[in-house]
Amino acid sequence: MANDYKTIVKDGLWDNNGVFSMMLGLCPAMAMTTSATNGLGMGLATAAVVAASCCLVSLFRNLITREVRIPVFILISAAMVTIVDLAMNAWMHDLYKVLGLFIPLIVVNCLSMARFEAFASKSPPLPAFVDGLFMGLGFTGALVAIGAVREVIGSGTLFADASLLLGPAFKVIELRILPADTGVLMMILPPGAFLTTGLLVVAKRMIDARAARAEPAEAAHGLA
Amino acid sequence: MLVRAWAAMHGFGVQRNKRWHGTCEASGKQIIRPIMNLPHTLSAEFVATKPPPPRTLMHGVILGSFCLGFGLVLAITDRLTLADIAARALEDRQNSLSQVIPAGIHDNNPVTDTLLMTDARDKEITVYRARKAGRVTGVAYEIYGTGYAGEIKLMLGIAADGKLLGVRVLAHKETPGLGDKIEEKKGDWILRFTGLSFTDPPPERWKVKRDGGQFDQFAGATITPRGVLGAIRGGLEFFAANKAKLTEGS
Repeated sequence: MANDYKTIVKDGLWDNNGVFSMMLGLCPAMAMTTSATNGLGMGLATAAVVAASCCLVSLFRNLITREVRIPVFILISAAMVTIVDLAMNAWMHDLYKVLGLFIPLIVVNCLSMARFEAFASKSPPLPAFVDGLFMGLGFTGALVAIGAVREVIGSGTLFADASLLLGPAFKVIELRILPADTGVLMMILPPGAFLTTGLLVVAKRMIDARAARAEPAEAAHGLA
Repeated sequence: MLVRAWAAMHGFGVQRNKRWHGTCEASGKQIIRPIMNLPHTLSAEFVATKPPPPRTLMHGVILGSFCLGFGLVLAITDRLTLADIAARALEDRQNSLSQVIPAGIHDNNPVTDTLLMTDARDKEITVYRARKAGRVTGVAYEIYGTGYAGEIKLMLGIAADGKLLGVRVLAHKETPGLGDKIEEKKGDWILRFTGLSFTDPPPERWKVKRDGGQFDQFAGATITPRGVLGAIRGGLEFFAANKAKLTEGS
């Protein structure tokens, strides 16, 4: 069982990463990553909603028939997003002012749909929750990576305004990498999103390919 | 084989939704198998049975119940958060107003001292009034300009004598790094209007330099400052045209 969870975690974070492997949820991944902080905000909001809705889908999995599962999944996802949106607006208003823009976008994230269909609708609530959470965290990691590359090249900063999202204690991670006004504007505009995402997908595939090549060699070494 | 024979006898397949329906001859148990698995999982002891009719009504009931249930949950959430959200919206408005109405010139709460007017284009404008000892000392209202990427929403504060108390951007979709220098936190461009009025400079000079006005555009962006200036000019015109009503009781 522990092994299962390990696979779930590894799949979510790397092997089956939502953005870089499954290429899902690319719209928010590219639209929202003008800075690493934005990517982090969007990613965390998505992780919370996907984890909670995966858990719900799993709880209702024996009630939902095959024929109506898609509308019910969308309903669950949309309801969760709306509840989070309203609750944050009312009770976490400062955070809402930063993330508010992103939250409605989570409804159209195919990542949640894919996890409902492939995992949550066939698993008990706890694994479904863990799967949703780590898929979401993998998504967060991807968004932070895309956002960081675009932000450093585009505006010369890293994690600018992170203290608005995470609290004043995180002022220290707001870095200026390049001098002001030297950024390549294109990286913050949509073309930069496509370029960065593409190059990061290539990078991940190269790392995976290298790991795959190293593995048989190691095994042979172990035998010798 | 029995399955096939049954299908042939009845003139149609026993599958529905890519599943074969059958009964185990020995135990009488219902058997449903994905069509792909048929040759392996169905042996002679399985007798094909007629598939059950499609359960359209049941699907409808399931979907309907989920809609009803989540609808209820959403209604409850809405009820619970309604008052708090309204309070937060009021605070937000108070914050944006406090940027264009200095605390020193009023002793009332401008957020609640409002006046509904219509501008030259029949658009409704909510005017917030600042009063000191009952006399109107200034007003603030939202103005809108057309930027490079859509509408720019600003808040304009103006003293009873027609001098600008301040202009702040509330929302915009301008290009980051170029057009967003109109935000107060990204540059001091927006601060230059404080103290000016509709006659200082004269109306025809309320433009960017490229259009023959007296205000700098910024590097790489002309359309954004042009939109902001157009909005401010419109706001000043609105004040000039409605001065009597706006400053009633000053």
